[in-house]
Amino acid sequence: MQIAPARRARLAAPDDAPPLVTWRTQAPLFLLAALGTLLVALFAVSWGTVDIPPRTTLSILAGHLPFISTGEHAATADAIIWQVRMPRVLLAGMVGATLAFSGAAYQGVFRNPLAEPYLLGVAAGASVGATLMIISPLFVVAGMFSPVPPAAFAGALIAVALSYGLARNGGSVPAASLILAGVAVSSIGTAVVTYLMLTYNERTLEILNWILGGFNTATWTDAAILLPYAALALAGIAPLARIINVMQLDEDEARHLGVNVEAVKVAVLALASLATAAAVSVSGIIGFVGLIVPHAVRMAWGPDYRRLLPLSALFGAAFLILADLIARSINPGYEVPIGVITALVGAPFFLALLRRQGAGRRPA
Amino acid sequence: MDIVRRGARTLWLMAVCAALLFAAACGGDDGAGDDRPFEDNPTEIQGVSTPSAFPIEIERSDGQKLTLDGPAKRIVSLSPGATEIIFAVGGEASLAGVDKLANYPAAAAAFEPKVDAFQPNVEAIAALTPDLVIVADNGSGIVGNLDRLNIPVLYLDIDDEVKSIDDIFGQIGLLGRITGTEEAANELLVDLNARVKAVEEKLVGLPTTRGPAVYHELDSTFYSASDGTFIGSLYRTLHARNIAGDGGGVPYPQLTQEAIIAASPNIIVLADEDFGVTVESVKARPGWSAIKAVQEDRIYGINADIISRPGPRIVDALEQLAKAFYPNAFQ
Repeated sequence: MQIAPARRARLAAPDDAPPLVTWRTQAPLFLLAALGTLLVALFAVSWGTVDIPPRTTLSILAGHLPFISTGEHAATADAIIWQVRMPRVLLAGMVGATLAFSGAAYQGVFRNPLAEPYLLGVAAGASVGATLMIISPLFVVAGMFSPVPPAAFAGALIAVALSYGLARNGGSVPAASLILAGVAVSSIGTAVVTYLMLTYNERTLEILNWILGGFNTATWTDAAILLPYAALALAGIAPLARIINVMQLDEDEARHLGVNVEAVKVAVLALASLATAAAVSVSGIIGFVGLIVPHAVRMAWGPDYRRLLPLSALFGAAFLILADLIARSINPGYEVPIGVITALVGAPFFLALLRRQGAGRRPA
Repeated sequence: MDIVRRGARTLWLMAVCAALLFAAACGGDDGAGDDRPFEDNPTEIQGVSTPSAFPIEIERSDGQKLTLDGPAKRIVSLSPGATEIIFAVGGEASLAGVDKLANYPAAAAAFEPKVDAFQPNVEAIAALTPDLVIVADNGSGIVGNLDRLNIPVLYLDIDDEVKSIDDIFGQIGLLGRITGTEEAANELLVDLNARVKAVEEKLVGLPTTRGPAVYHELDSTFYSASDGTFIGSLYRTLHARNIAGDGGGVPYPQLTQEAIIAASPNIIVLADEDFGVTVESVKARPGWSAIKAVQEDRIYGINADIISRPGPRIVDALEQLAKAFYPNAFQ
């Protein structure tokens, strides 16, 4: 890695060294970010096609909490807030958090700034699974519970396992091989989906809709499906932040320091892939979040993974909630694909950050 | 909630304006070209053509002119709707190939050879030595490919040229002339027009704006059909208010779920039963119990092919919906 010497130099200069990062010193920052995300979520719940005053929104929300009665509300407003907007905002937040967190973790273990959660074929594998299910007779007879998310989930995991298996060389899995295997597996998956989509063209719209992703059909059930995987990844990977920090210096150096690099790599990849697969299975493929949010956080708060991982989750959630809010209110009553928004809004924002950082670095 | 009502009214007003604008546009622009048969007898039966002589000159959707010097004898139809029309007017002897989605009537489903209209293979089409290829969607760029091979192409875009039942009737008349089956086409049109008129007459007393609000579902992610489509024109004929409105400028827009719940349509029409959506699964959607159609059990499935294809069966769709919407009037 080219940046390693520079970083080492910075660590060596005590004046320039960042303040000690511990959970306790970071608590105010995390709390503030969490509060901000919560406000974004509340704003998104109270804003939509249908004008429902914030007071009514809060009252409806409170009414659904246990032991609180806020009186009767119009059935329509209640359905819109509690059955449509709440699960939609919650799911967007959880998917955003999962993708950004997993992206940050991937970037950490691969020590590659281009790493993102779909790198090992999760998206392509999920697409193959979903497409196969959509063209199968099961899709029609399944009725109330869509068989597509489980199929997508299975496809995603198979793809990751395949990438991993192909890259495995003896006891170790070199990062470069893993990335290349992921690219190859993704290409195969994309080719299969393209072929199936064109062959079974009476189902093209359904397949395309699934791939484009979005939260228009989000339900509490979707959120409940994702929750355990997202929580598991968060709880499993966050404690490894310190080790991921050490791995940034040099894998060999980390080994000398007694870190079982392979074990950490496998654990992080497995947990992050599992969570990403679950997110993709309930929301389709939403690009860009997993790549740019961690970088934006890194530019603002530095490369320490103890800060980067939790903040990526929080800002990923806020970012996707806002992107979804734009997607459903830009043309009130009608949907705009969310992937368009994440790219159109996310990319310029990201480029602006990049330029600002570049300007700061340039010698006077 | 006042703002909601005002918003709804604005939307409705916009929809009406769009409909008016649309009607004006239809009056001025004759879409299929100056051969549009019913221009000659606007007060009479839609689509019926006066006896005409070849050559027929047609303006295609891409602005190019197509001139036919005589009836087409080897037609490759890449449009299931056009295929249905050709069979309905007895012009199937002129067919040299149909799209693989053609499934009605049974003879069309059994017809060989079949070609893929979605990713058309220009060589496979050229190999059938067609003297006319009918294209309703040029997403694949097939029109340009066929033009380069000097194969005549009748390209009438399904979104641009077919915006009402009358437009479908216009195509029936046109295809009758092209296949040299004008008489059968005219007979069919007389019958179809009479059936539409019968429906209209039963609804005569109804004010245009007081009919039921309808949500037309194309798929389970809430794609719908706007007023500017022929599906929309069906609902206008039925004095129903289509909640998709002008579609925000999109013929087939994706509605937000909360807009559907807020509009609380009296009736839901499912054109996606082929894709696993059922009356029960719609009722079970979280939050949908607030919708009048769910409360009053007014969710109806309709065969997607008859309502989504611009062919003669569109009148079947109209009659089925009329019966469902107004059970008392159509006993």
